[in-house]
Amino acid sequence: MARTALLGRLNWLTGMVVASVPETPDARTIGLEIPDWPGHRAGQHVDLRLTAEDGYRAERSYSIASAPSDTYVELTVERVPGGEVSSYLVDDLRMGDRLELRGPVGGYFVWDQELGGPLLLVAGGSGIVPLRSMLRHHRAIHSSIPVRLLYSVRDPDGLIYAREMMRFATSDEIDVNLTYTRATPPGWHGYGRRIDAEMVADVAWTPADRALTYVCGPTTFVEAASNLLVAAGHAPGRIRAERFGGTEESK
Amino acid sequence: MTATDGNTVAALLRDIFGQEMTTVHGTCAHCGNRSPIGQVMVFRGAGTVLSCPACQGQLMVIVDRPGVASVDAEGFAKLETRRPHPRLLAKP
Repeated sequence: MARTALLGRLNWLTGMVVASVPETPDARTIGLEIPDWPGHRAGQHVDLRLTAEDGYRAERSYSIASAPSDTYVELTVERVPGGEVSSYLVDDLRMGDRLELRGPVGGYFVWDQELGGPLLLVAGGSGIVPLRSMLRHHRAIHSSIPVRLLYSVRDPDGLIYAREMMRFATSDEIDVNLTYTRATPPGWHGYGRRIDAEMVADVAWTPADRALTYVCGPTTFVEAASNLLVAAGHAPGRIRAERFGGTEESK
Repeated sequence: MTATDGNTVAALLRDIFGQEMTTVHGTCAHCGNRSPIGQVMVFRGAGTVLSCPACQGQLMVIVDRPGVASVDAEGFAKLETRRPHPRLLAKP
């Protein structure tokens, strides 16, 4: 029995920081070279562990931002006010530093070509991170499955992967929709409010399309988006959600 | 405390049960709701509490300490896991 459990155990791996890209004033993408990395599926995450000199440890989950076929494993971390782990990763981590992590984990909030579509991806803030992995994967495998993305951010400074989203939007298969909930960029004619029934009716597929839907973000955002989709007639069993809490630190 | 969901404890569950657990379907002993573990409510404090997304009833409590993990799974009437498909094993 003990042996069985040991076989399935997740080992701690060490990754070296080989890239570090500021995405927004509060978010940074960290590229890691991880020997013995077993590969991942789009949407999975890792648990990352920091250890202080006195032995104090803190562990957090972060979604993988890169596609399975990308050269490095990328994590995008957004600084949480008062967050001891996220502040360190966004502000203090340097090239060549080593990080302890285990994974990849999670088999539910993942997308592969075999799962099909059409796809509806709904992100609130840094909830875009695992969905970016799915979008990159979708492009890397030249999937013809149509994708609609609804990405909700507070203001222009909160828009992670701004340029890459514009690139995704040039693809015939991917329809990118943004909404700014607090402040819009100058001259913006798109959505400037929280996700609501009208926006869902505009952006989402019809229930008859039986779209596979992934919703990721803070718990309140995920609950609101999921409830709107179900109220519009979408099958709850086709909606996969990942909630990363509220004020407490995670992602 | 804000709830997260079962996805965020995938590593903890994998560590304790030795397999991917977020795709395992659990049936709530309180209300009969059947849901993938990835979609149950999770509260993390001194211990980890999994609750039913339909009735908020307590499904499982995990206390993970150095040397021993204690799991109380009284709120699950049933857990169903799919046997691995050979094609999945062929992945690197």
